[in-house]
Amino acid sequence: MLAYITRRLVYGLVTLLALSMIVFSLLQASGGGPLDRLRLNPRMQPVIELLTKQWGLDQPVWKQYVTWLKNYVTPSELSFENALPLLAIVVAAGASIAVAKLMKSHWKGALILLVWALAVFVIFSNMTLKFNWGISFQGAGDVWDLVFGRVGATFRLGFSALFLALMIGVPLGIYQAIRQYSFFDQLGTTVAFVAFSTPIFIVGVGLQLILALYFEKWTGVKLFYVTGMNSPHYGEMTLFQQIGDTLQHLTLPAISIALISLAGYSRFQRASMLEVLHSDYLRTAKAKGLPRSRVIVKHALRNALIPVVTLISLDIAFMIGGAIITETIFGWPGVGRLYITAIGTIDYPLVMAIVMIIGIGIVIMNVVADILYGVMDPRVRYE
Amino acid sequence: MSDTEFLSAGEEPSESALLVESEGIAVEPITQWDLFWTRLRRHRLAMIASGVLALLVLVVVSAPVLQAAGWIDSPVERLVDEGGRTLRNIPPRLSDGTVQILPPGAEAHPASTSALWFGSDDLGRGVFSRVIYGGRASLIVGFVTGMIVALFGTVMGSIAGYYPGAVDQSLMRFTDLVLGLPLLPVAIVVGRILPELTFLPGWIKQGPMGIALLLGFLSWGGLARIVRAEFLSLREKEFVEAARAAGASDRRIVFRHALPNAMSPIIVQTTLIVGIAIVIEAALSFLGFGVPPPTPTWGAMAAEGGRLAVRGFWWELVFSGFALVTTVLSINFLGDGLRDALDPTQTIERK
Amino acid sequence: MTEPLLEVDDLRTYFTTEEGIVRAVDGISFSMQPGQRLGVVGESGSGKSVTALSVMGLIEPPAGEIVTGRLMFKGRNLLELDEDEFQEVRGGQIAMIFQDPMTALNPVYTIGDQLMETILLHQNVNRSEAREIAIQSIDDVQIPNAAQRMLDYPHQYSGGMRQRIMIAMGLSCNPDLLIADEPTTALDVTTQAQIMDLMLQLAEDRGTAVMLITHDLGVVAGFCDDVHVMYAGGIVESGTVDDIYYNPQHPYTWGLLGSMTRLDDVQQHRLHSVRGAPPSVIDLPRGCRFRPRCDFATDVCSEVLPALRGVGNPEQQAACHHAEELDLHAVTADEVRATEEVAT
Repeated sequence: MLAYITRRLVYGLVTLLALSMIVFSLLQASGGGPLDRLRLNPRMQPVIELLTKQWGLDQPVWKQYVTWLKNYVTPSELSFENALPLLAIVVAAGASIAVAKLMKSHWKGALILLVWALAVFVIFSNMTLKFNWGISFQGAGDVWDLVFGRVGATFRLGFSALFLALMIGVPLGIYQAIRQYSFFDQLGTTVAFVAFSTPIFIVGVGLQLILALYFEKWTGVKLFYVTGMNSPHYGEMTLFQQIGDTLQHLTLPAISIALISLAGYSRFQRASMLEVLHSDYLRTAKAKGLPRSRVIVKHALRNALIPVVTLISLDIAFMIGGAIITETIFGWPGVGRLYITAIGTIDYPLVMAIVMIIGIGIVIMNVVADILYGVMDPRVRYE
Repeated sequence: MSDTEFLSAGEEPSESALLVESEGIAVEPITQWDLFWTRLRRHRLAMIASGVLALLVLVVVSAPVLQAAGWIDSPVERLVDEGGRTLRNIPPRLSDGTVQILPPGAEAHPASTSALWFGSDDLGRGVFSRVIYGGRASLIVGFVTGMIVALFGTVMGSIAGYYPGAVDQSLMRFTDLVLGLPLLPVAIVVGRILPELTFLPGWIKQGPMGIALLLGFLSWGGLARIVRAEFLSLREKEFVEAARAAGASDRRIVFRHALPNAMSPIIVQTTLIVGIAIVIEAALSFLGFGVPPPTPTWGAMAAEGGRLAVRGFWWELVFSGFALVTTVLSINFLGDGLRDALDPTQTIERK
Repeated sequence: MTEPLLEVDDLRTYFTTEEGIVRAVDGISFSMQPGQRLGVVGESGSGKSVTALSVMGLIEPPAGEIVTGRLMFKGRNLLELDEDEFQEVRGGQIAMIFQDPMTALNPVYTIGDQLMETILLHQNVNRSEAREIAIQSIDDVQIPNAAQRMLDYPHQYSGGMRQRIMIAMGLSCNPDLLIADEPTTALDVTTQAQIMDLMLQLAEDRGTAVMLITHDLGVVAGFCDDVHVMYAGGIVESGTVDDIYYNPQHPYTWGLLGSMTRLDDVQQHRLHSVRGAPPSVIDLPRGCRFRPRCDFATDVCSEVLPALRGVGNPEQQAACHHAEELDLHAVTADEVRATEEVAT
């Protein structure tokens, strides 16, 4: 298991390197160079010189890349106090190795995930460490601060969408499989097909126009907000109002991202559940004399949920794309919108930082899904 | 009075064949294609979907003819200016806020040859003709991406599946790498940079071809994996071993035995990719990183239409969105029908 | 004779498919005594497995439905029980072992979990008692190190071991009837005999009646008292093992026996097979269902479906118009044809 996960992480690292090289060289190939817009302003001359020196912009491309890479992985200042996140990673890694070596049951995967969840909590609650990701070329500020100032918003949107998609899609698929060929099943299949074929931006713009804009125009009731994450006077609200305000902003973009995934989960879950329902071991369970509800809850569900776990890691990559589109439509102050802005002006430290964050997120999610798969299915051997 | 006689009597071909047929026990041979067509025809939605797609292709391909015949307008030109004067053949100027936006079905200006069935946009251009021309971009992207994926994925997957060991390993590592790239973020970067790459010829920079090539080279990984898995399992199958034992060459085994058997996942997966490619192109154009204007695309029209819809002019968004959803839905239904029809495990059961 | 354990009366189980109604079991009647070992033999698609599933109440609507019939088990008609009552019978009083042990156990639960589940369900015991019973039952099927192996998952067992576990599971509640549907078909030959011996020995110890479903007449010969031969949804011949083997009255039985390798075949007969394929049970021929494949068929066979009737001794029955007339051991097909030609 340990060797397997290490190998996956190494492959992930190679993919990340390739990703950074591809995007880096693409950004370099664009005409004019990233500093052109700054040159319009004569007062920017010192900034240009500083950036040129910092990023080696007068050097050949490969040297610039090496400089970027070195900067990207270098903590800006390492002291005894702010090294806690690094320490947490080292401790978690050690604990994982110990668990993987000492425990026999397939539940060790769950323990490892728990250890890492704790580590992530420690890291984020003590995030005093910074990496030298540079300064935005457009003068928007320090890239690390810019990105991590917005990660929270994107997480809020992304996890709400994932939650919605799973909490609705999975039960829907299960119910459809149990009631195969019923009216509800056929309706669900058709609706899923339509949802699956509707691009996120159509859903987003449609919801925004109808439920937020036109609805208020027609009825005078403000159901949802058109843009933003919170109202300006959020700080003065009561807790109850704050929750309401958050939901009024969050619901529509979350649904926009979730809809296609939801349809995907329901289709996938239905197929997987049907396969399990027709399996021999389910017949055995019925032949034991178990009540139908126990047969489904205990014997069918556990097996039918296993393949869906693999779908989640694929879906995360898809949802990141969805978040980029949705954040743009709903003016959501997240990383996705920042990415679009940065690309528009070819602000390359910012673009690189965000692309790499996305890449790292996908690699980590893949490994997590692999471990989860092993927890769910005792037959899995990591080779 | 020996058992040998019993055998020969029992197996007399003509008589037993007659008997058998009259009882409906055996059936006349059904070929794979007959079976495929029978099943596909039974899939009603897939049949409707192929009808819709055929119509779309017909209209889109004949768009220049329709335009020449005066049935639709040029997609990039305004029809009328604020004073009602014809502005045909004059390229649109930006920063013009006074153009009258006409609703669907509006009587076109006398100078224009066609009615504005879908209304006009804020530059006075007919939405109907733009939807039709927008279909060109979508179909080119779908078709070219599908071709690249089918070709590249099949070749990569077959080679990896047929030559296990170092070749397979290195090809699959490469496939994993491509699959590991986050599609939309990378596509956005490329879409943004593409028009600025001076060394590229104009047909790649300007039209939908560049986007199609990009999406094709980013999305063949899934199919390559499927084809490889298919080849690996076929290697173990008796009929391939038999062919090899009979002295068939590698080429013959691949083209006569392995590929035909891997055909159905290739077709189904490619169909799905076509739908996905059309959606991603639309998303790129929506974000402004796709096919550059003034070439009409459904994605860019949806973005523009969204801004108009805020002001109450809903038609550009609705018609471009409807065209996009209908097309993708049709492709997905067709893919579903093909999957059902091609699935060899779903034989028509005879008990 | 004591009161029969199971009495099946005119059972008809049909399935609705796209191509039409499949009459998988079409009017069969038989009974079983306590402790009896009954073999049910037939080709695939003859309805033998569906018969078993009907008795277990595992026919799933809307696709499958028991159209008519009575299933009297210990004086109660199973078809009139509600779902709760049937659940007590199923697994508790009637247990079933399936063909493929590789897929019959749930892969995500331990062997111990799955065994104890049955025990807790049907016996009034607590968890630790159930654990004891489970360990004992694993011990009974001769798997060493039972307590340890309780914690293993099915994929850690071999096929033969898994079938032992299925037997242990089936017998753990001391059922009155054990239905074994091709229990050894998926196993290799050396394991087959061991498993079969073990199963029948354990059943005998518990006084459990066994319905053994198989396509293999050889297995039946070795392990059963009585045999039903099924063809296209009906029983075509039934009797004791000796009757069926040494004095078959139905041409189909005779054909099946001929296709079997026999160690006692001193005359070195050539093997022969029943020609043709079983009919589609959707589109059954009129008259006798075996007629298209029968070498002895006459006009009456294409008109009238023969009923099961006593032939020879009182315990042997066959569904053939020409049973008794045909001396299946002496006559070959050619001779029958020859006599027919003379007659016409």
